[in-house]
Amino acid sequence: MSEHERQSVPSACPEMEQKLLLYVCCELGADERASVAAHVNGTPGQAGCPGCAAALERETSLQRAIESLGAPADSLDRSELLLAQSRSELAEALDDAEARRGHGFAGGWREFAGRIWNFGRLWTLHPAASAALLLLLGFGLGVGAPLVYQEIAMREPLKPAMVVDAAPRLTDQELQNVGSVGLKWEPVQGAPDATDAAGSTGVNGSSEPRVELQLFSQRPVSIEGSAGDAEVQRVLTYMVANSRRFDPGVLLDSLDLLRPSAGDPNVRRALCAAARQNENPGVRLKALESLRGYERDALVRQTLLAALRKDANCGVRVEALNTLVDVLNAQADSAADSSDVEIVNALQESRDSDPNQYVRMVSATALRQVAPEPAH
Amino acid sequence: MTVEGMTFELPRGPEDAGGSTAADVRAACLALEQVDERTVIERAQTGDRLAFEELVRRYDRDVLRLALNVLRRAEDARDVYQEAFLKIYKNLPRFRFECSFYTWLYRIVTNLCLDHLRRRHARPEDQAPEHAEQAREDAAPDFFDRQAASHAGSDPERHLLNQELAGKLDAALARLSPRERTVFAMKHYQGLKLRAIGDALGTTEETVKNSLFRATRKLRAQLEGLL
Repeated sequence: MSEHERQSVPSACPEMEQKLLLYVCCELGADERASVAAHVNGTPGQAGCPGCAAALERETSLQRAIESLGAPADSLDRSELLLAQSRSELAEALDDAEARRGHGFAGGWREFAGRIWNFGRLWTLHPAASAALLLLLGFGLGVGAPLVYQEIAMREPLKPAMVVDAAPRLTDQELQNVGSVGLKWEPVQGAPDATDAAGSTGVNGSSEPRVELQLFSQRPVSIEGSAGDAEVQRVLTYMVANSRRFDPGVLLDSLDLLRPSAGDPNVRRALCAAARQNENPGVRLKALESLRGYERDALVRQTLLAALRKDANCGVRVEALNTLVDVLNAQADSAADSSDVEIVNALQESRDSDPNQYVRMVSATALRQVAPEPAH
Repeated sequence: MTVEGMTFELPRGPEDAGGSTAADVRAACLALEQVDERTVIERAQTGDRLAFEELVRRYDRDVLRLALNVLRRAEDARDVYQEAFLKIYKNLPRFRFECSFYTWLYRIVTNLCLDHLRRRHARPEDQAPEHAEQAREDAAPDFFDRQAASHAGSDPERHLLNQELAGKLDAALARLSPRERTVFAMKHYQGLKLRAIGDALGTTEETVKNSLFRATRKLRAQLEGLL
């Protein structure tokens, strides 16, 4: 067909193209065959489609050409020599397979090793694919492993190397070596404020909150028990007494937990030390709050007086002032002693020289109540 | 076992066959030839080597022909033949008659052929040229065939045209995708219906139709001017 002839041939209807091929390949049902024939050849009242007729002609000639060339198998194995060879090779391969099967366990292992070897070979034949796989593997391990580890760590809290109950006593040396402390505790039910903690019944039925202390030093130690357990209290007291070494957040929790035990002189000494020495005003304030009710103790009273006179934070001074004023009010009816005189002196100093107006005003009011000035 | 009124005594297993004479084995093979396919498969599933060989004999011509038609290379076809039957030998105990054995066999063979074609496409530089064209030139191997070819009635011009067409067809087939080429060969050289091709390839008849249509369109474009 010349170029001119080809260009002049009308093209087939697009929706008929596949049907024409299937028509020639005898893959259409009787109805569809009739429909295609009617479209191509036309019906008594309607002309046929010249484009589709030409396309059908081309399709038929292509099929004829393919048929005329014959199947490759006819020429490649005309004498069936290849079939005979293949049969012979298969028989040998089957003998081998049966022999391997007969070896049982050893044969199975050999087959397994062979599969692994073949898998390895497969990847060596595809360097780009194996490089991509390694890259993916590395990326997956790099990104996924920390996430998995984190997930596991979150589900299962970090366990210390050694867990001891409250019963075994830590040596003083061990306490001194503690670098930092982690503290977890469950507030008792119905006591949103830790102030009420010791007096209520805990979630697990105990009357005191459960405390878990993790001491990080050369030998990490975990201590679990109620807030009133001797060893728990000893550690908390040590932390408050040496408050400069520990985190203010942990100290505030410790002060909450120690508050019910302020009757213990050792605990009071620790609270006084924290109120005097800690750099954090919140800790100092909480330490003073924890000492309320024990103002008769000389050390406590000295601590309150020192706070009123020297503390840089006006909130702490106000707390000390209020406590001291309460002491004076409580003793108004009884005979004044030397400590009251000391309080009055401190109040006068505050009234005259405290930088905070509120402190000066409260001090003046308190002084007027306990020692009214003579009328002029 | 009775087939069409005849009674056959089948060997009970491979050990029976191994312990008997060649004449007994031959008789057993002859008996197997008369047995229906399902029985042969069931015997082969129990490890009966003679039954398996009977299955091979029934289908291996078709298997090799399909592999040759799709791959158009004798060595590859021989590989596929062996791989296919070894695979069947290993997996036959798991065959549950959910489809016909023929469909299962064809599925295995076409998958192996597709693997070969894909490897060829991936690494064309490692492949030897296809031999279909050469084989076609050597298709008249003996004197009498050559005489027939040069008979006075034959048309030398037509012969040359056919050779050119065959060359172009080989080149065009080599450009088809593995799936298109497999569908084309199964349709035109094996004479399978599109549904059967779909079963063998594990796909729908519609997909096979589309593959055949694409393949034919590409071939027509390549062979334009020769038809």
